[in-house]
Amino acid sequence: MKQRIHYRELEGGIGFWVLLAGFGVLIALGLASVHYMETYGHWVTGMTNQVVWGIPHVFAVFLIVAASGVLNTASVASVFARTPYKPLAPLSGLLSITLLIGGLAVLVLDLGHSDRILVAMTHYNFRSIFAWNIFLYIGFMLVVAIYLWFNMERRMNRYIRPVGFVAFVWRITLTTGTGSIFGFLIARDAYDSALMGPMFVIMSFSFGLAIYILVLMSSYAGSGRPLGDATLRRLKNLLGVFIAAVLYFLAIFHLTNLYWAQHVGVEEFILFGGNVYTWLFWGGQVLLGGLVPLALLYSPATGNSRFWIAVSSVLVILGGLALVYVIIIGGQAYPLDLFPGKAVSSTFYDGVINTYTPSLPEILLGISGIAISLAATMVAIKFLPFLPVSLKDEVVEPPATPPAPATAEAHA
Amino acid sequence: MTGTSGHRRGFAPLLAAALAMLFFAWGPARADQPAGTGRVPLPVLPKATGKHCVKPTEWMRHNHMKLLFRERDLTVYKGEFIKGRSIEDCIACHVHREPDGQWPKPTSKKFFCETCHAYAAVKIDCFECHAAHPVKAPPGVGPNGGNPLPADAKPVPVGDLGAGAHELTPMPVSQGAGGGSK
Amino acid sequence: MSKQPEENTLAAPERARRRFLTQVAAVTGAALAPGMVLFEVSQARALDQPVSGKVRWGMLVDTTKCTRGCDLCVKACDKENGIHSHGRPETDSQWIRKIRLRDLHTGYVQFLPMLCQHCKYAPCVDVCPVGASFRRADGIVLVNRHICIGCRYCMMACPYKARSFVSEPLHDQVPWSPRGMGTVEACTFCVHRVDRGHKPACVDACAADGPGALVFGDMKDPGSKIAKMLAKEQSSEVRADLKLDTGVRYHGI
Repeated sequence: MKQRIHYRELEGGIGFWVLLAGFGVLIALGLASVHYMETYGHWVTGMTNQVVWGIPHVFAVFLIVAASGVLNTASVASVFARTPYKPLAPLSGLLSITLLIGGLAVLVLDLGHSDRILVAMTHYNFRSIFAWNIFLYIGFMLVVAIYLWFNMERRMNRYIRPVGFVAFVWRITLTTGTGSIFGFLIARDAYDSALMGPMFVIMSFSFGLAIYILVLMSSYAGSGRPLGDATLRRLKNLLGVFIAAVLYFLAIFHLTNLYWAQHVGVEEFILFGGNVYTWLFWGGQVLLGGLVPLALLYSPATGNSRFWIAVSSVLVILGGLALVYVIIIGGQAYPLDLFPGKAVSSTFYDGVINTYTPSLPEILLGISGIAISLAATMVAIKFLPFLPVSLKDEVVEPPATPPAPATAEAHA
Repeated sequence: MTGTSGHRRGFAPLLAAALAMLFFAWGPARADQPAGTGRVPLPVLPKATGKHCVKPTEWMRHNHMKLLFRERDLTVYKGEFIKGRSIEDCIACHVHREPDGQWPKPTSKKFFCETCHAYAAVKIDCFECHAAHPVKAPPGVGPNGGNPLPADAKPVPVGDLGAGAHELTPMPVSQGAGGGSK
Repeated sequence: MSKQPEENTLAAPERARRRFLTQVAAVTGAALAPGMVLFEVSQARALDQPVSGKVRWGMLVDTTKCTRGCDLCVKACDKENGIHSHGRPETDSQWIRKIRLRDLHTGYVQFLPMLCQHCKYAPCVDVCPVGASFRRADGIVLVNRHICIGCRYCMMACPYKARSFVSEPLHDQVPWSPRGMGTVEACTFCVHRVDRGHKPACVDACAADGPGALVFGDMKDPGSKIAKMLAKEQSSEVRADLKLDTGVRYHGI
C-alpha cells in the first residue's frame, strides 16, 4: 500500500459529550437497579424458580455473541488478507472488547452473589462449559488487546497475521462455547442440540456486523469524517450473507427438532403456539430481523442508500434480541417433561407453561450493558487513534496504480 | 442499608464507586462515630459463657477465619464434624440475649462478631445463611430429633445403632404446622 | 490462601488422634476382613470421620402407597429445614413437592413426591462453574453455599426441577439447615440427620403418620431394608433415559 491510512482520535463537540452523558445516565440507572435487586432479592424481578434466566441474560448473551462477531471485520483483514478491510480493523477489535465487557457486566451483576466474582475467578469446575467460558472470555480480551497493539504499533505490524489468526480461532471457540451453554442442557427439549454452538457462531457474525456498521456510520457522520460508499457496500453485502446464514441455521434447527417426537412439543409451542414467542420468532426474527433487511440490502432501490443500510442494521439487532429472547425465555417457558405420556400437576408449576414478565429493574440492567459497551467505545475512540481520518474509497482502496508488491506483502 | 443484603462488595470499579458513595452516605462506620474524638472507638466484646475458647484468645483473634474456613470445608465436603467447633458451638458460647430478652441482630454492634468486624471494617456474610443465635430444636426436628447429644457424649457411629444394625433410627415427628410449600 | 497455615490450625493432639483412629481402623479392617462382611465396617462412621464412598444413601418411593391429599412429607421437610412461604409461590423454595400424574390415554391417576434425585452423574454438578454443586462420597448431592455465586445454571440443567433459588432475604433460619438469599438450594436428604444416624424428616413423617411409602437407607448395604426391597420389587428412575443413576427410585411408575 502506497498510501498509508492515518488514524486519529475522534474530534467531537458538544454532541459527543451529551451522548456520553446519556449513556452515563443509563449506566447509573442500571446500577441503581442492581442495588435494588440485591437489597430485596430477585423476587422483585420477573425471574422465578421456573424461568431462572430472564431479560438480563437476553441482553448479556446478545452482547457476548455480538462481541465475537464484531471482530469479523478485523479477521477478514488479517486472516483473509483483504486490504480494504484493514482500516476497519482497529474499531472492530475495540468493539469486540467493549461489547464483551458490557455483556459480562450484565451477566455478573445479575448473579445472586455478584459480590463473589472473585470466587468465580478462583474456583473452576472444568466439567462445566460455563467455567470454560470464563477462560474464553478473559483470554479473548487479552488476545484482541494484543491484536490491537500489533495493529497500532508499526514495529509489530508484521506479526499481525498470526495474532489475527489466533483471535479468529479464539472467537469461533468462544461463541461455540456460549452456544454450548444451551446446547449442553440435556434435560430441556428446547436446547439439547449440538447445533447451538455453530448457530451461535453464525448469529454472532450477523449481530456483530450490524452493530459494527451502525457504530461506524454514526461515528463518521457525527465527526464529519468521510466514509466511502465502497466500504459500506462491502459491509452490507457481507451482512446480507450472514442474515441468510442465520435463517438457514434456524430452519435446520427447527426442522430437525420437528422430526424428533420428543422435541415436537416444544417446537409446536414456539413455532405455532400463538404466544409471544411465536410472534417474536416469526415476526421479530424471521420477518423483521431476516427477510426485510435481506430485501432492503439487496434491492437496487434501497441497497445503496445509507439510510436503508442503517435501518437494516437496526432491524438485524432487534431481530437478534428477539431471537435470543425466544431461545432463552421461550425455552424455559415450556415445562420439563418428567413423565412422558402423563399429564402432571403440582404446586411447583409442573406441567404448565411458565409465565415471565420482565420487570423494569432488570430491563434497565440489560440496557445498561449496551450503554457500558457504547460509552467505553466512545471514550476509547475519543482518546486513542482507532478511527481512520478518512475512509474515502480512494484512500481505502487506492486506484489501480501499480503498487510495489513487496511493500504490499509486508503490510498485509 | 436494610437487612443482611448490606454485605456486598463492589467488584467492578463502577459498582465499587457507586457502593462507596452509598457507604459514605449512610454507612455503618459513620453512624457510631463519637462526636469530637475523630477516632473509631475500640470494640467491646460480649463475654463468652464457656471457660475458654477452642484456641488461645490471642490466636483466635488473628486466625479464627482460618479455622472457620478450613473446618467448614471439612464439614461441607466430607461430613466431618469436630466436636465443640461447629459454628453453632461458637454461637452458643458467644451470643447472649440482650437485657430486653432479644437476641442481638448480626448486623448490630452488640453482636459478638460484628463488634470487631465493624471496627476492622471487614464485612462478613456468614449470617445471611447461618442462624445468629442458639436455637433449641422442637421435638422431632433437627440433627438429633430435638435431643442434642450431651456435650461429652460420643457421637453414635451409623453402623452401631443396635437393633437391625443396617438401619437408621426413626424419630418422633413434629406435628407443627409446616412452611410454605404444600 | 496457601495450604500450610491452614494445616497448622489443627492442634497436634487432634492430628495424632486422627492418625491413631485411622491406623486402628486399618488394622481392625485388615484383621476382620477375611471373615467379615465389609459393608458393616464401612458403614460405621463417627462424626469426626469423613463420609465414605462405600455407602450410597438412597430412597425408594412406593407410589402405590402414596395417597391423594396427604402432604406429610412436604410439611415435615418445611418444618425440618425452616422453609417458610413468602406468599409468592413462583419464587418460594420447594425442596420436595407432590406431583399428580394422570395417564393421557387411560386416565389412571397416581401421586408421588418429587425431590432432588441425588444422581450419581448429576447434571447440576457437571455444569456448576465454581464447583459449588457437588456430590458427597456417600452420594448426597449438595450446594456449597459458601461459594455459590447464584448463576442458576444448575437449575437450567436439572432434569427434575429439584432446585430453588432463594430470592429474598431470610431470617430465622434453623442452625442445622443454613439457607440464604442469592444462592441455590435443594433437598439435602436431611444430611444433618443422616450424619447422626437418623432418617430424613420426610421419611420419618411418612412412616409415623402416613402410609409409609418412603424407605431410606444405604443402597450398597445388601442387608439394609432398601437394598432388600430394591432386589425384590420393581423400581425405576425418573427419566431413566438420561442414565443419571439416581439415588431416588420409584416403585409403581
